[in-house]
Amino acid sequence: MLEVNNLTKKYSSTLANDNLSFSLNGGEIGILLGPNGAGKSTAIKCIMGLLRFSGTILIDGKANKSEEAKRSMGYVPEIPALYELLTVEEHAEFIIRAYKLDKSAYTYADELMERLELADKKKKLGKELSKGMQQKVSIMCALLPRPKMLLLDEPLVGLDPHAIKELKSMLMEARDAGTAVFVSTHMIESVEEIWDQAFIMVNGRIVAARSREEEAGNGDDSLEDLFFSITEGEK
Amino acid sequence: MRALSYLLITSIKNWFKNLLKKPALLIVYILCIAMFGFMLIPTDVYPPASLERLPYLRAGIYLLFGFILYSGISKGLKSGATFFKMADVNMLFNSPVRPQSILLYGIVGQMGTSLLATLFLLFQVANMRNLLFLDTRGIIALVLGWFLTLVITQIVSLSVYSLTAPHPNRRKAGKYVLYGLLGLLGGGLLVYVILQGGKPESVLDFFGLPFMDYFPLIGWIDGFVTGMIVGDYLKMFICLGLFVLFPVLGIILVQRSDSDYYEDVLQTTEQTFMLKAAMKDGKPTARNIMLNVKAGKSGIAGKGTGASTFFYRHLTEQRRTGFMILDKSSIVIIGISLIAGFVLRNLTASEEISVFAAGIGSFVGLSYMLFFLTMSGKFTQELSKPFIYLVPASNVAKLFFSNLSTVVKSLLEGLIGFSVITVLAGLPIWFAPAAAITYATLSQIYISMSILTQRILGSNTSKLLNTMMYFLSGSIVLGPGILIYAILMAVFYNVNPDLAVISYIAAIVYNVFASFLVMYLGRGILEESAS
Repeated sequence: MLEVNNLTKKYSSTLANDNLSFSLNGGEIGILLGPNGAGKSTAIKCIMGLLRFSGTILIDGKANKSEEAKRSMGYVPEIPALYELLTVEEHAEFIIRAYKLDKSAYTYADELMERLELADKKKKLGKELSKGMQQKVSIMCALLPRPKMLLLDEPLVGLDPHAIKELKSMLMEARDAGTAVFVSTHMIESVEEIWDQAFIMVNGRIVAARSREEEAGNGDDSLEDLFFSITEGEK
Repeated sequence: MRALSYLLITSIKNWFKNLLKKPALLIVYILCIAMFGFMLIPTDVYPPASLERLPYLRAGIYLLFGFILYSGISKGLKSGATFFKMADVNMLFNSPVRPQSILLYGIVGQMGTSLLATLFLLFQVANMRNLLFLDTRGIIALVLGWFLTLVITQIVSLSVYSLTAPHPNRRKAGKYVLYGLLGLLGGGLLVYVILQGGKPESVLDFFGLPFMDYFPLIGWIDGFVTGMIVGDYLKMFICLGLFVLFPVLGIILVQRSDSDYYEDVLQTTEQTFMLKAAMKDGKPTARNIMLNVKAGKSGIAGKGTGASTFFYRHLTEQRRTGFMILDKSSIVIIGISLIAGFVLRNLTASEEISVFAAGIGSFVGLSYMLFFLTMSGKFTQELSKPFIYLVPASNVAKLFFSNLSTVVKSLLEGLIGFSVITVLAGLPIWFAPAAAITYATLSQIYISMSILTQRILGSNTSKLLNTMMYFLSGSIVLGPGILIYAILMAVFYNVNPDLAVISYIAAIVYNVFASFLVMYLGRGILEESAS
């Protein structure tokens, strides 16, 4: 579903992403781990088509900046930012129009608002919501088009425990429905129980990749141990 | 386009709905519109409309509109511009909506923002009639010119960035073109003034030369405004056409060359979003996020300890963000002094006003501008950080030193500005230092008004209430000083015009005394924690 080949992103003299190559299948949750400044957000923005880069990124076989690819993607950004003058339900309406979704999307929007505890805030303007609530609306907007590829950049920051639990179960449901879910985070413990593929990034490069099967089959160190052995070894 | 039109229409609809929920704000808007309508009606209160001040208007357009236009393009060559919001980046840029449609939506949104930014000009309608002798058509021309300048600067800035950012050679060429144009303008002015025998009036004449209406960008908008004022509609339409065609061409080039402009606006949009979020959280220092600051030499300037460290820290920050102790607002003050100098020179030469009135007028004018520039000075920023509350020194000393850099800056810009006015308008030699020192101590008074507001209301109050209290404290702290200045001026001027210096000295003494008294009485604000 997601194929990244030789992704390189340079900001004048800074090499933010250095020749990254990895892939993720539908029905898998991939996590991108790394310390602050490792280049995770840059990689996510490149995948989402927000930055210029060299290399190729394919979503379901299509170039990531194409309209077809965008129709298949959902994105939860690191910084939630809503339209200040649109209510919660109008954000859903906007996404339905922008992605040209069918009528059933309205029912799904209601369902998502219910699960994310947004139902009683439907009529609230974006500017009237707390940061946590804004994050929940971002999640709703990303899930609404039922994307084949879902990208989340530090999605758990700012959420209350109930919302974290709900989001994790939503991600697992999306995986079970065949969606490729790609989560960038530096909080390993928060995604410990849900990942299928893990990629560890340091200084713009992927320095380790591991699958859940490999870890279970070989009796390797835990992901957390691997992460610290790599990042502390770098120092 | 359905999603974009839905977004625009729903946002506008909700803005109105939201306004209805805030009756106070609604009344303010209605009053503003009514006031504007009222001001457009010519009355006998204003001087009769004439073209007498057109040369000044022309020079003013070249200076102010030119500054906006060319600094916008310069920004475009460095860091770009944006008319998108973070929500657009998060939701629109990732959606399957065509980038070209999104760009059009951004331009429409920017026009709305510029329209709001034009509202402030409405408060200057009386000045346009009184000082520039404009009629209703002239006022509309100037307001339209301002609006177009704001919109087109943003579009040109974005186009320039998008077309040059990925190509260092194009960026270099863009810089050469920009500096070439500015050099041509400056050089042309210099040569013309020399050829005219160095007469100051020739500066104004230069901007009135026929071909100056066709100088790229700034000449076009000047030609549009002045063409409309004098009724030369052919010139007006040609200049308007050129001014609008230029950014349209830029947008077409952006779309033809590479519609992938998302990266170009991303950084600026993120910076603007962070800045607004930080400002909302009450962190005025967040404005520094926008500055492209280089650390340069490390270490706090000077040898300050205790409370004075705040002053030296400000000097160090100033070294990184400004020109010595001066900043961008100083440039504005000095630029306005230069124009005021020429205006006053002509007015005193034609005996329309006396030298005495010219001195008072320039002093009051610059002091009025300082009032607004000091409102968001270093002191307000200092209160949002914990250090001023924690440093073990006397509160009065901390208040004094955290304001000192503003006073020194005001002194320096006052000395430059009033010297320029003194030389150009032929004012007595004592005027420059006397007015500059009074001006600097006034900045201390304005800050003490902030202290008084903070002391009475505390830190967590509404902006509206704060602003009202600030103006009220102005009448308490500033009022007696104005009275002393006016009475002494009236008394001594009649005896001997040079004795008017006494009124400035008295104002200085009053300002220093009153500001220290307020600092002493308001020292308790440093015993409250930073919010």
